[in-house]
Amino acid sequence: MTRTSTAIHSSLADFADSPIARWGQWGWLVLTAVFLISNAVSLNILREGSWLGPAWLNVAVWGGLMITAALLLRRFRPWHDPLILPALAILLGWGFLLVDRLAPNFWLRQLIWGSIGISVLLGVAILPRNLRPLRDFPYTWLIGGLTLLGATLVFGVNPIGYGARLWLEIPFTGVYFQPSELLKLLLIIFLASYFAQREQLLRFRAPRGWLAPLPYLAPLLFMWGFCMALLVWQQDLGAAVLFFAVFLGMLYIAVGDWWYLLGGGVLLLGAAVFAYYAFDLVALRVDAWINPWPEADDRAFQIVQSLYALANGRVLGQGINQGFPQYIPVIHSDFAFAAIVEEWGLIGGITTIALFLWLTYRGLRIAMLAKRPFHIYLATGITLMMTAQTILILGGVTKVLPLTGVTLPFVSYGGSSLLMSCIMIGILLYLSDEVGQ
Amino acid sequence: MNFDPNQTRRRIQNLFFVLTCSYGVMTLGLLWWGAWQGDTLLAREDNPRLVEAELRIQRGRIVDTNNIVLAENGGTVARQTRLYLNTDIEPVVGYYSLRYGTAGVEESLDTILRGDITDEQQEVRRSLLHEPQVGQDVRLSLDLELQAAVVDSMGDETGAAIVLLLSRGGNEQIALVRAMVSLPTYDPNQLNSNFEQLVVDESAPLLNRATQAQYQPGEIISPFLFALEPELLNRLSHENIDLTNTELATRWTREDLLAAWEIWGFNESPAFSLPVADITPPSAADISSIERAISGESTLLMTPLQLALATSALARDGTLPQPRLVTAVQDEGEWVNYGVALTPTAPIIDSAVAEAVQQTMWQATSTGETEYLVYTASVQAGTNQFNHWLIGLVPAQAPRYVVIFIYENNSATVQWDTINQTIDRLADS
Repeated sequence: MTRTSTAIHSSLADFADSPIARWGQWGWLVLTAVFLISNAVSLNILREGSWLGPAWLNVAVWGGLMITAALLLRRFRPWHDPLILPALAILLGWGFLLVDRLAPNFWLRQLIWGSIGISVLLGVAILPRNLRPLRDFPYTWLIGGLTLLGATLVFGVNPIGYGARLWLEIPFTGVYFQPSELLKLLLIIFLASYFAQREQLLRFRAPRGWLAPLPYLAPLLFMWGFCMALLVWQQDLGAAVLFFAVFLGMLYIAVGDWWYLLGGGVLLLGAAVFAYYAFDLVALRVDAWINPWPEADDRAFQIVQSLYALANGRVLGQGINQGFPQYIPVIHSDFAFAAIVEEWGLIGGITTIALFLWLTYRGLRIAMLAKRPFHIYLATGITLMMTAQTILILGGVTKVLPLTGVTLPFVSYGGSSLLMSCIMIGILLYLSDEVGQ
Repeated sequence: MNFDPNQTRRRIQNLFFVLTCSYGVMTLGLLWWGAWQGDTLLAREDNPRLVEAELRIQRGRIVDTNNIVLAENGGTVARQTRLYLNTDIEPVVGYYSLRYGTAGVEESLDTILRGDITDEQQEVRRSLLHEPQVGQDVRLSLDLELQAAVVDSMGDETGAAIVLLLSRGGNEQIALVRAMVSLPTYDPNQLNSNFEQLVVDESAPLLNRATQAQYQPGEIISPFLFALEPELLNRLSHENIDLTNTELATRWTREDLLAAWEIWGFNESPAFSLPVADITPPSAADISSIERAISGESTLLMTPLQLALATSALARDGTLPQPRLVTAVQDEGEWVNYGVALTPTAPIIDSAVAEAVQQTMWQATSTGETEYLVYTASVQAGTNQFNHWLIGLVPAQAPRYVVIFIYENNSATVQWDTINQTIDRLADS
């Protein structure tokens, strides 16, 4: 398998670096523009009765951002991976349209956050720098992130007025920020730095039948403890699972020992059982996952409506603004994927999954081609974070996994999530340019 | 141990393999709910999309014989509402309610009015193109003007009335329903707010008395029984009917009476486009006294519709007609006749006997230049409570209309004059 996948990887890598792929980037952007324009026209006609209407703003903002991004990246990072931006472009534009259709009240904010996100992405990818400060001060970054997270215990609010108080209000702006989103990136930086420096130490193998000494198990236990604390204090199940899953993935890359993964899995399972009995929210989500039908009109309403949306999409979907995804509570953040399937069908759903798989492939390809350990772990961690988040929410929507309340990257409404996802892609583009050189 | 890039790459490849498998599982989950379980899920009653789809159906109009609209749709494309333009036609036209279902013509012609498609290709095309579901218009044989006149003539009474138009020279076996009244009635436009009250209302406004209520016939049954005994018929007059009833009771057994009941179609539900009473054929054990049964005061019951059909047989050549309420359905802008082809049935009685019954038992009345026939009877329905029947044939010669009235639990004398005005209207038409 390894030899075959290496061959596939090599051929794909050759293709990605070819002029066809680089011009193909523009081709993909044009195709995406056609997709967005046709949907914007449909949305205007269905909502306004005319092809002219506010939905064009999605295309205009998206077009401006993507043309700028493609030109600047080509000018300043000529060796960047040209096949990342098209996937991001489709997901981002689709997300703009979806928020416009599902939650018009949040739509302008999403456009603003998207614009900020792409600007920051370009800044991260283009501005000349090296990543040494990130690598050399991991504990500073981590403590900074944890401090912000800890601040939510005291100053935390929820913009909708109820539910977990995971946001901080930026004073005098009316803008809310979710520190756990920032912590995702800071944790990856910390872990990448940690594994890059301690990798050899971690490779110690205990004799058969013996546990590794405590110092070697410490990172695993520390991360587990941190995630448990996150779960208990904030009841943020999604973030806790996400952090631990990313940690386990990076640990495997560093150590290469499946037993660590197995041990981590057991710890995760234990935490899940504890959370089930300790927290109503977790119990509710697990019960609704196992059998939602007895409480379809009550506690399992959200997941049941999501399943109806998946079923109603059929193969081609109902068309934008012609399905009924608004029956799903909090559709614009947690269940954007269900709305995609209902209005763009199984084809839309599978396309979305394929785009995220493509981003996973391109991200891990950058990790494989990177020379420095820190860059390898950074690219791996970022890719793992986005992939794990996507799988968690896809699994929740399709009832393969319990709901965890994370967003679908680039597509769901959520400023903090969109901004941090853009920064992560910016880092990947920066690393890919370095690899290309 | 030094950093080994190849080993790390292999691990990343392994990780990619695991993540790809995870995406594969998510895709299978999507296909499971979206394709495999899709139809089952969508058919669940608690799926709100069913309601949304229902709200968008543009139901066809219901019009009377002169194309006057009785019921039509209004509202927006996404929120269609049903409007009923005249409450005189209730409960015949019935109601369509998202919450309470359908009744009357709205129920019996629901598939046509909704525009349901049985062709799978057309259904797929409609679904793909998001074509709205548009139902077909339906034309009834009711004459709204006549219907309103019958309602007016009954005033505030409880009861029912039917006016049938008999075919002459064409298809003899059809009787078109020109008016069908059941009182008290209700306003279907207010159904959603009044339904709970209507259901428990003792006067049963939701019941179509003309087709579903069963009454003792009293002596209104006599013409039908004597039509089967021509010898007694010759000695009969309106004045000596009690005497002749007694004689009939000595001649007939219970089985004879049951046979007569069957001949006139009183022991089965007539085929009709509205719900009719669920009738169980009576047995000899149901008849405690043959005398009372022959006088129409036993457990042998009939609906106004049954009586109207039997009267139609007497009014013509002795053949029981089929009642018809729906005459046409609009198909792509053209009205197309609606109704099943009839198989001819043998006459119940000889046409000469039918004519003899008319001449012997019906009272001739005249209005203007037209003469018509009337026969009335009353049945005690409780202490000082009577049900009053009236049969009318208009005009007296070669009747074209059969008129049936039943007044329920009426303690006073019926003011037949008001009903006669309706009959006058028919006679003049």
